Amino acid sequence: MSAVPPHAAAADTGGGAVAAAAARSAGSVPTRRPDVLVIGGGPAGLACAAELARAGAAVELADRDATLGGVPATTAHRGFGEGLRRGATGPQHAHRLVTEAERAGASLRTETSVLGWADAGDAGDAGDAGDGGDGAWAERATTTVEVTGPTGRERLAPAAVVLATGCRERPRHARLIPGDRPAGVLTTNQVQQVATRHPGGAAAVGRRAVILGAEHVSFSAVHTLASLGCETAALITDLPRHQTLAPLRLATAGVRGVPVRTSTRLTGIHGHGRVEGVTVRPVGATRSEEIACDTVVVTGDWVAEHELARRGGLVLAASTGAPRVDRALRTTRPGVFAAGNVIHPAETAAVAAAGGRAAARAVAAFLTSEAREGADAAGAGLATRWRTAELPVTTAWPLQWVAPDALGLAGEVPSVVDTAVLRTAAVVEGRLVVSQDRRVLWRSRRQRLVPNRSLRVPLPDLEHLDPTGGRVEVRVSRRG
Amino acid sequence: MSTLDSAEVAVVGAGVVGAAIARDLAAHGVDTAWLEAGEDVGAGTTKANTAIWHTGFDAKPGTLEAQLVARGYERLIDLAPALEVPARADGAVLVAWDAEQADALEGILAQAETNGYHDCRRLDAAEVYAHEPRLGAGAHGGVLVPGEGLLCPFTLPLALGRQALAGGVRLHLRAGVEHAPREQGPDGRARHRLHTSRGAVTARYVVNAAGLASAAVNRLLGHEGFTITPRRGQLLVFDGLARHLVRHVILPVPTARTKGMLVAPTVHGKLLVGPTAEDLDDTTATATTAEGIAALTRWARAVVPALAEEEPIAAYAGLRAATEHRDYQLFAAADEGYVCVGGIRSTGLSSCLGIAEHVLGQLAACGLEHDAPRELPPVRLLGPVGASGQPGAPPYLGDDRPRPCQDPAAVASDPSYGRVVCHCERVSAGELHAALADPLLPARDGDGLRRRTRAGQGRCQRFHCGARVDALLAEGRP
Ligand SMILES: Cc1cc2nc3c(=O)[nH]c(=O)nc-3n(C[C@H](O)[C@H](O)[C@H](O)COP(=O)(O)OP(=O)(O)OC[C@H]3O[C@@H](n4cnc5c(N)ncnc54)[C@H](O)[C@@H]3O)c2cc1C
Ligand SMILES: Cc1cc2nc3c(=O)[nH]c(=O)nc-3n(C[C@H](O)[C@H](O)[C@H](O)COP(=O)(O)OP(=O)(O)OC[C@H]3O[C@@H](n4cnc5c(N)ncnc54)[C@H](O)[C@@H]3O)c2cc1C
Repeated sequence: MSAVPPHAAAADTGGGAVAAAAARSAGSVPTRRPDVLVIGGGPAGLACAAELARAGAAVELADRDATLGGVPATTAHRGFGEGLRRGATGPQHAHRLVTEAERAGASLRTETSVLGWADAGDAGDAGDAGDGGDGAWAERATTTVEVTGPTGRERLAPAAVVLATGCRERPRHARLIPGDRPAGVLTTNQVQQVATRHPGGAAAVGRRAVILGAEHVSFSAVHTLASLGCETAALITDLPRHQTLAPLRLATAGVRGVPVRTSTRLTGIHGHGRVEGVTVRPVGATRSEEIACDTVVVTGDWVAEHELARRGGLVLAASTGAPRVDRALRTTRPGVFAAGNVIHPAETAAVAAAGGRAAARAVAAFLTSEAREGADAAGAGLATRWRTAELPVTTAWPLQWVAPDALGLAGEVPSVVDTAVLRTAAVVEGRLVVSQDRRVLWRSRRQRLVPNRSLRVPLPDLEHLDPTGGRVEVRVSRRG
Repeated sequence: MSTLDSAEVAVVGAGVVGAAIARDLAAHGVDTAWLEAGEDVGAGTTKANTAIWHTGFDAKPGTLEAQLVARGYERLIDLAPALEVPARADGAVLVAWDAEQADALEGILAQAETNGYHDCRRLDAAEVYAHEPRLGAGAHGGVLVPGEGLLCPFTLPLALGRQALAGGVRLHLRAGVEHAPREQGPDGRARHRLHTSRGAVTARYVVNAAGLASAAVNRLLGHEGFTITPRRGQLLVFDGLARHLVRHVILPVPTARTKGMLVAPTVHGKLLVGPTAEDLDDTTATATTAEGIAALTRWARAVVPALAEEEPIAAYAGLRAATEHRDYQLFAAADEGYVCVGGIRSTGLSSCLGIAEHVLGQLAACGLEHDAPRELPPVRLLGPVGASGQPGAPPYLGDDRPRPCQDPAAVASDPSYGRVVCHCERVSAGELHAALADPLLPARDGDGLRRRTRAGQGRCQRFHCGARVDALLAEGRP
């Protein structure tokens, strides 16, 4: 039995082989060369494109969705906006940003999916960077990407790319929640899309939900579910308290009497065909309890939408999958920048937009700098230098992550962010401390740190650092 | 009760086994009614397994299973292109993790020879790592099984079903057989009367391919001889971004009871880890458990340590139709025109075409007259490079061809193939519409749409596309 079976493909590269096959069949795929390609048309991408267009760059923004605006475009409630305009609804906020980018002259494209990088080392698939492919791949790394949409396949070869692909909620299976696989297990985003854009998908939302999570977005889900005629039986969190702000908690769970089950785990989902209930168990307890429901909404616990970052071989943060960036919002791939929730999953739309604007300043400088020539001429040159002198910023338990998570080189490109955002995994009292090699550079006042809430620290000026010293660390000091 | 259909042969069960039998009956011009209790073809055990295209090298020698797996493997080599079923022989590396297991390797090689599979090769530890550089430490050696492969468990039953229907078989969904008395037909000859919730089906011959319910259906037809103890297998799926970590199917040394847990790529470009083996008594217990997921996670990390850095994107469980016997329960009651295809526990995807051929022989021995085989029209799916697929057909699901949205010719032929709806799996609106409008086997529910297109099967698990896909389904449902 030695016949060669059908499609006995050169299979070890998975999608890499496909990309190559597609490229071969592509033959005539047209290539265009804007100055900048912004990938993602949420608050971060739109604000970035607006600033760059205003600065005179030929900037194109591609969003794979049919509508611009990112998550806010499907978030009906108020609480969006930059500066004083915080009372806008999500769609209003999105509309403002779209108008701003359009007026500034950015070319905005919807239904335009960026599929991957054009160079053969599309590392997410062909991968094995650690097996020696790294160097060779980095030589070829470019900013050219493959794009598709109803108007056809295309290749874009911009001088710079900004990743503004946002983030998503960690789904049920990635959280290792066992049980059946019935219909009716959703994320907040899916519920929002049913409420605002795809009412035809309403069958997925039932009459009585259990919400996993008790962070801001979880409480927002209570409202959205209610607007669809679905009551919330309980919010479940394994943390000892909810993690939203008092007013939001009151406005939902308090008034409506939705119980928040703290220090409780969701240990099973049951139902054939449709969800019939969940099993929950208090942390440390041995007895479980059933809650009847026909819908489970798995909320928050964000992960970066990092497919492109990964395929591009960018260095990622372990806990969030966010691409590593420095104070110029540069990633580890030359000419590729990142901003918004893809680097800090998840902050508010205003923070995302501010990040987009900051990235625009760095990109504008890059477009005219020697750094770009370095990247063009030497290929991996910049990346190599970057990696050896990145000055990483790290966190220590219970802190989970920090962004930016590197400081980068002095003088090469402007520092466009002076604050880092971070998260804690546990509720603690203490001070946030920034230090290098045990030398304290900054210390916050004493505060209660709550998971899933935005925390921040100033990034130290490079003058205050020992350039030959070790990493910069952010930690919690419980003393004093 | 009203009569739903009247046929020469009734096939009970539309899993992969029933589908292969129905397809072969069509190829032989037999007047066939095909009954399925559920909503779709291939929605039982057939959709929840490890999707390995077994050569049969490790089967128990001398069993019917050994014979039919080998034959099924061979037939699929020829048929896969015409069926457009993603199937490919990437090969397997069977790894011995301790000295005792290494001692068992010679026996495994000998067993393969006995089974008529001659391509196995002993690997020393260094060769094992040359084949699988990402393998965890501690391998003592192994066996290379070059022919062992992967196939698409979603496309295979649907493609066989499409050919069966194109060849004239009549499929009745939501038509579970509840009673099966014998009666006298108008011509005075005895026949079967199969009562279903949608009416009765009369047939001269009945083939029982009811999977987990094969023992129950066997009893309905007045036979005993085996019972089914569902043996649950839980599996974890890792994202395509981790696909490059593994090159072959990585098998353990099997035990008397199970083939053990493996780490394997899928034709969809993902990684699978599993299955567990737990004996249960509930034929609907397809839930995963905390213990199962923990065991799978441990195994994944032991075999491929880099998987510790990856999050699983899905977990599921399937039930093997295990019996008290060590072989398939495939027998005929010639005077009754009844063929039982029971206990097809852990190799049915690979053996289905071998089983079908065998069943045709059994039916002929029962007296069924049939034509010489004819060619059935090939299945045409969308997706071959150069767009040789028929516009309007559902997509090809293997990762060895670009998705329509990646194929300039497909997008140029119809812009809706460039309108990506499921971003993780790159499924376009055009493909979803086609799967809903398929004249032969349209998708009827979300799960059916997923099995035909892969929509919603990626890392975001419907975060981005769930609402839109559900809305399309609600609009497009026939
Ligand atoms: C339920 C909910 C409630 C919220 N409430 C508030 C609130 O009240 N106030 C507030 O300020 N913030 C709120 N937020 C947070 C806010 O929505 C985010 O901070 C903001 O959307 C982040 O912007 P972004 O541009 O980084 O990403 P996103 O808005 O997620 O945008 C990313 C964009 O990238 C596109 N994209 C991704 N990959 C590709 C690709 N490969 N090719 C092309 N395009 C791609 C996507 O289509 C998407 O449009 C809420 C979020 C949620 C989920
Ligand atoms: C965990 C696991 C891993 C496996 N891995 C592999 C593998 O790697 N390779 C391989 O080749 N095989 C594998 N298998 C085995 C393979 O999946 C099965 O052998 C095969 O799917 C059996 O197909 P079937 O048609 O007999 O059963 P099913 O797919 O269960 O189909 C039976 C059908 O009959 C219908 N039915 C039941 N009762 C009635 C009734 N009264 N009237 C009408 N219809 C009825 C059911 O609804 C169902 O659709 C695995 C199995 C499991 C569980």
